[in-house]
Amino acid sequence: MTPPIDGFARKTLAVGLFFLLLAGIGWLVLRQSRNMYSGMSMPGDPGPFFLIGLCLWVLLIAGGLLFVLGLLGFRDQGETFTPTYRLVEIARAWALSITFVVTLLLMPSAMRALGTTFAVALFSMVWIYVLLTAVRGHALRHVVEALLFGAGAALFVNLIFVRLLTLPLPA
Amino acid sequence: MLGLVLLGTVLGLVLGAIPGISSTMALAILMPMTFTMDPGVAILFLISIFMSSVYGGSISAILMKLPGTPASIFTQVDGYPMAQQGRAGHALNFALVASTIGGMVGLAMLVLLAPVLAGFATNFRSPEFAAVALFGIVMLSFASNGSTLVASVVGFIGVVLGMIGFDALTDAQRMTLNTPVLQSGLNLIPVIIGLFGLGEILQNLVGFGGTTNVRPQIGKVLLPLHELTSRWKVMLRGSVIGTFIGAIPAAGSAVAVSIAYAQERRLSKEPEKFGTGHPDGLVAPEAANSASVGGSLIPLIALGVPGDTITAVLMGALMVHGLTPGPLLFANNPTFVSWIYVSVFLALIATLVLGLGMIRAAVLVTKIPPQLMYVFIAVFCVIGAFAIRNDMNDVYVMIAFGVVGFVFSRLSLPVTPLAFGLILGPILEENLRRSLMISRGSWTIFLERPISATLIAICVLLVSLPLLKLGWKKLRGSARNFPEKVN
Repeated sequence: MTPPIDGFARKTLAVGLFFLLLAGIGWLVLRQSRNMYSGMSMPGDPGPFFLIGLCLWVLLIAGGLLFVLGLLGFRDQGETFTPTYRLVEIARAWALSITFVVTLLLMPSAMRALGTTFAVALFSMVWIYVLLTAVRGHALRHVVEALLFGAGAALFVNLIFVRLLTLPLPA
Repeated sequence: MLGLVLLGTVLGLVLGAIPGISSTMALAILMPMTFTMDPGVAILFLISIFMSSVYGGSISAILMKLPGTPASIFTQVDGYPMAQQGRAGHALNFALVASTIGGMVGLAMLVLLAPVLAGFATNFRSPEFAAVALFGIVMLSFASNGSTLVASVVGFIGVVLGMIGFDALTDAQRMTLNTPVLQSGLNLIPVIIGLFGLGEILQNLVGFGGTTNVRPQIGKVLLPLHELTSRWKVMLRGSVIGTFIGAIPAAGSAVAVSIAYAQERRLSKEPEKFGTGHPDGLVAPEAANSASVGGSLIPLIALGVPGDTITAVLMGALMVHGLTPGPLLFANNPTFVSWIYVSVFLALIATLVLGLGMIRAAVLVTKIPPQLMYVFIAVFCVIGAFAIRNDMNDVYVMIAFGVVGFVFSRLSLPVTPLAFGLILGPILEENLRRSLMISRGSWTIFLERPISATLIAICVLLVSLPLLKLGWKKLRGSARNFPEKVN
């Protein structure tokens, strides 16, 4: 049988594991919620945790099924597990995205510490430079472009969101 | 007010024309700008962005063979060869006129059908609403790329996420980990901005290497009138297909354009020319694309069920402004419903006028380096997520869902059912539990009422269709092998 995720055993296995992981976390959190609840249900009401439990069961069954299908696919397609060098390549390809997320996570703190305008300027300048050099390599022109466009982004945010729309962004 | 229509239209045209920025993303990142506006003004602005981004998506498809939106996939098939032949101006003009006519047909259908459907829906009670919510989740899963079952499971993950927070009936805390941030539940807007805005940027950053674009020649812009009038049948067919497919919850504009293109090719006297720069191959999907907007607004306004992702974002915007789409909107606020129609009309006219004026400038839009766009959009995502409740926690929620969107796309899981589950989950749960309380716990209440029974039967059929197909294949296979075994 063809594995259901793009026809690849590897992806099907990964999705199966992902669903199982989510279901596991979901059950743990749900158990904690149930322990905190001491109220009573009304007649006929299946209760506040019924639908969540039902969805988690579906997730658990689907995860298990996909995991088994993934394993069977591995056997049928003669696939092997990802070699280390390939994992390194994947990690390298994801590096920009991961770093981007990390810097975004720092944005709220930067906004509180430096103010929104400066935080936006800093974030934009750094990232525009990083992305420009990722394509064309380092050049002084890219530094100037990053500074100009970063300042432009900060100015836009200040004019539109802070002054015009008067959003209470950290100053 | 006219200034806002023009601003929304320009923003929609520009953002829609940039590859990698879908109409949904454009709407999601610009929505926070409307938080301080009156509901009527806000919806006018958002619909202007929505309508113009639909045509905007065709600009990069025609000039660069890079569809700005998923619904522009078929626009590039004949639009790009036209641009290669030095007829980019004509191609953009064809697309614009077809888009406007398609939009007008979609609007006419919206005006005619939405009140009828809403009148019908006033007879809906809890079992029907529960069934409609389930139908919406399953239909979207069915229309998503890949496995229906997997997409349905993703929809159920969304349902779980939608139930985080205090239960309205019993005050029970659900999946909150006893943390104040989660007690009020997940706000829809940061989730949507994260999934469709940040998630797409993170996806585009994988293996980022930039693009090298060749500036296409625009050629002549104005078309001879007979070139347009001779294609009225093509435009009408595309528009009708677009409206009806768009009105099916979750079918979406991408499905509408593919059907319109296939149908036009089948009916054409020169099908062999499709794909080489045939105007009919451009006009039909463009008309269908724009008409599907009106179509997708029908279930949103009449039933309160979003027709696709972008109408789900619009629904979120309406809810932010204290308006709940559905049959009661017609009863309580008919003026606002009429205002939605007027907004669509104004947006279409503005798109036509500005689109014509911007044909030559369109080339410049496609030259904006993606590096700048990604950074600017990320900044908008952060500020947009904060602006909804002036709460930094929403920024973290947005980033978390950006990562979720990224992981989902790496695993080839559809993101849209997740957003749908999040929206429809609370509707499903509330009406399911209310129905069961009315029936004192008897599940037959859903089968006793014809509409809910029909919808549930369709859901069961759709979900079990892949299994039925598999069974059918096996049966046919064994029937074929049978004579060989006998011999």
